[in-house]
Amino acid sequence: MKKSGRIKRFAVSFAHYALLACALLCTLIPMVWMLITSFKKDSEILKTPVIYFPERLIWDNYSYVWSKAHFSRYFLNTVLVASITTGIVVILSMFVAYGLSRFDFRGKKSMTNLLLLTQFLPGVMLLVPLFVILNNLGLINTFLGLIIVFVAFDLPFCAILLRNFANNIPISLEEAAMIDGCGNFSVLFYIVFPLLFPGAIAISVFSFLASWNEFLFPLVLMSDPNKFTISVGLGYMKGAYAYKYGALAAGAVISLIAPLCIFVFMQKYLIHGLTAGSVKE
Amino acid sequence: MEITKNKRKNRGYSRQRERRYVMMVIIPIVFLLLSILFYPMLSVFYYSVFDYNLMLSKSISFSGIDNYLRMTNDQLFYKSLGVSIIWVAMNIILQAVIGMSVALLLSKSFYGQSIVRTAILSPYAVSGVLASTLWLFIFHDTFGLLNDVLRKLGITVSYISWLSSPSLAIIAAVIAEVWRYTPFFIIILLAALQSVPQDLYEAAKVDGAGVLRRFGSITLPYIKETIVFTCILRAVWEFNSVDVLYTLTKGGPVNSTTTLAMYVVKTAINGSNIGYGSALTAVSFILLTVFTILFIQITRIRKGERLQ
Repeated sequence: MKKSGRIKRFAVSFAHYALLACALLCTLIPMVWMLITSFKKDSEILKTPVIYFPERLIWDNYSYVWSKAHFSRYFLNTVLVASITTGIVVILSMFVAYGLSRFDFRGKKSMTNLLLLTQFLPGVMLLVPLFVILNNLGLINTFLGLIIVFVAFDLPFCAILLRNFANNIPISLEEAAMIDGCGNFSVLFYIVFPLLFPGAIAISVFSFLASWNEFLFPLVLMSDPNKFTISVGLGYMKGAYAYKYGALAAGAVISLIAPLCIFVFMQKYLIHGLTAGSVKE
Repeated sequence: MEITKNKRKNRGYSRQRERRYVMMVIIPIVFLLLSILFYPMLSVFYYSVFDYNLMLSKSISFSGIDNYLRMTNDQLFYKSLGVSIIWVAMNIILQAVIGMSVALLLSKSFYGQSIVRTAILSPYAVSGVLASTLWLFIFHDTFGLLNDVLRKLGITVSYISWLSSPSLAIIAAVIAEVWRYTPFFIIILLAALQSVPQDLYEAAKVDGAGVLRRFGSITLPYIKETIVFTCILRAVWEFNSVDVLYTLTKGGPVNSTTTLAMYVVKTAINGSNIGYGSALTAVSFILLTVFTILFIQITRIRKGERLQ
C-alpha cells in the first residue's frame, strides 16, 4: 500500500514540475530568441535553416539602433514621460484615496462607481475625440498633452487601489496624533502618506509600466519623430527598417529591459496591490 | 472589514475642515479626471452625425444618420464584427483556461516558486508592440523559429506563411495576445485560489474525494465570481485591443485580422475620416454595453436559481 502511494506521489510531483517547465519554456522562449537574434549579423538571421547559436556575438545592432535609429532619444523621451506621469499619479492618488477612505460626502458612491466605470472605457474609442480635443487646445505633439492623457488613464485605477490600502490603515493613529496637537495636513504628510508607501510603490510600478508600454496614443498624438516614445519608435522600425532585422531585435531588447527589470524587482508590490481589493475575503 | 470604523466622526470644527478638504482637493481632481474621460465619449456621439474628414474638406457639415446608413451597407463593418467576435472568444477561452491551469500549478508550493512565478508572469511587463515584435521572429516564413522547428521535427516540409495567409494570421495574432495577457488572469486567479480555506481540501481528502472532485466542488464555487468578473473585464479589453494587431499584421492580410476596433483605427487615423470613425466607435460602445449588461444579468439569474 505504502509503496504505491509513494510512486503515485512521485508521479504527481513529476507531472507538476514537468508542466511548470512547459509553461516556463513557452513564456521565455520568445524573449530568449529575441535576445539571441539581436546579437547576430543580418546575414546570419536571414539564413535558412535557422542558426541557433551565432558564431560571434556582435554589438553592431545595438550601436546602430541606439544612434542611427535614434533609440537613445526615444528612450529618454519615454523615461521623461513615464516618470512625470507616475509622479503626478502617485501624488494625486494619495490625496484622492485618503479622501475616499476617510470621508463621507454626498455623491461619494456614484463618484466611486464612475471611477470604476472608466476602466471599462476603451482607449481606442477615446482616440478620435481626444485627438480632436487636444488639437483644439493646441496640445498635439507636446509632452504635456501626452502626460495629461496618461495621467487621466492611470489615475482612476490607482486611486481606487490606494483607497483599498488606506482602508487598512487604522484611524486611531491619526486621532492620536491630532490629540497631540498635529494639524490636519500634517497628519496627512507625516503619518498617512508614509504608511501608504507599499501601496504607492504598487501604483507607481503599474503607472510607469502602463505609460512605458502605451502605443496607440503616443502614435497618434505625436507627429514629431524627435518626440516619439520607445513603443512608437519600435513600431516605426518595423515599417521603415523592415529588412534590418538585427537592429529591430536590438531595439526590442532595449525596449524590454527597463519594464522587465522594474517588473522583476517590484512584482511583489504590484501583485499585492492588484489583489488588495479585488478578491472578497 | 468595516470601513465605517475608519470614518472621521463629525466633531464640530473638523467637519468644516473635512468639507473643505473634499471641496478643494477631491472634487476638482475627480471632476477633471471624469471630464477628460467622459466628455470625449460624449463627443464621439456628437461627431458621428457629421461629415468630418480631416483631409478631404476643411468644412464640417451635418450629415445626420448618413454615417450610420453607410455602416449598414459596409461589408467590411460586418466582417470586422465577425472577426472581433472570433478574436474575443478565442482570446478569452485560451487565456482563462491556460490562466486557470497555470494558476493551479503555481499555487502549490515547490522549489524555486518565486523565481518561476516571476518568470511566468513577466510577459505582463511587455508592451503589445514588443510582444508582436517578439512573435514576428517566431512566425516569420523563412527565418522564423516555429517554421524551423516544425521542419526539423519533420512535421511540415514546406514553409507555412503564418502572417501572410488569411486563415492563419489570426491564429498567430491570438497566440501573441494570449502570451502577453494570460499573466493577468494568472495573477487574479492565484489570489482567488489563496482565498479558499485550506481545511476544506483536507476534509475532502479524508472523505476520499479525488482531485477533480475537489476542484469542482470546492475550488470552483469559491472563485466562480472572480472568474466571471475577470472574463467580462478582459472581454471588453480584448474587444478594444489593437496594439498587437496593428503591429503584427496591420489588420491584414485581406482584412482577416481587422477587428471592429482595428477598423476604427484604420478609418479615423489612417483614413482621417473622423465622422465615420466616430459612428463606428459609437456602435462599438453600444454593443459592448449591451453585452456587459446581458452577461451580468445572465450570471445574476443563475445565482438566483441556485439559491432557490
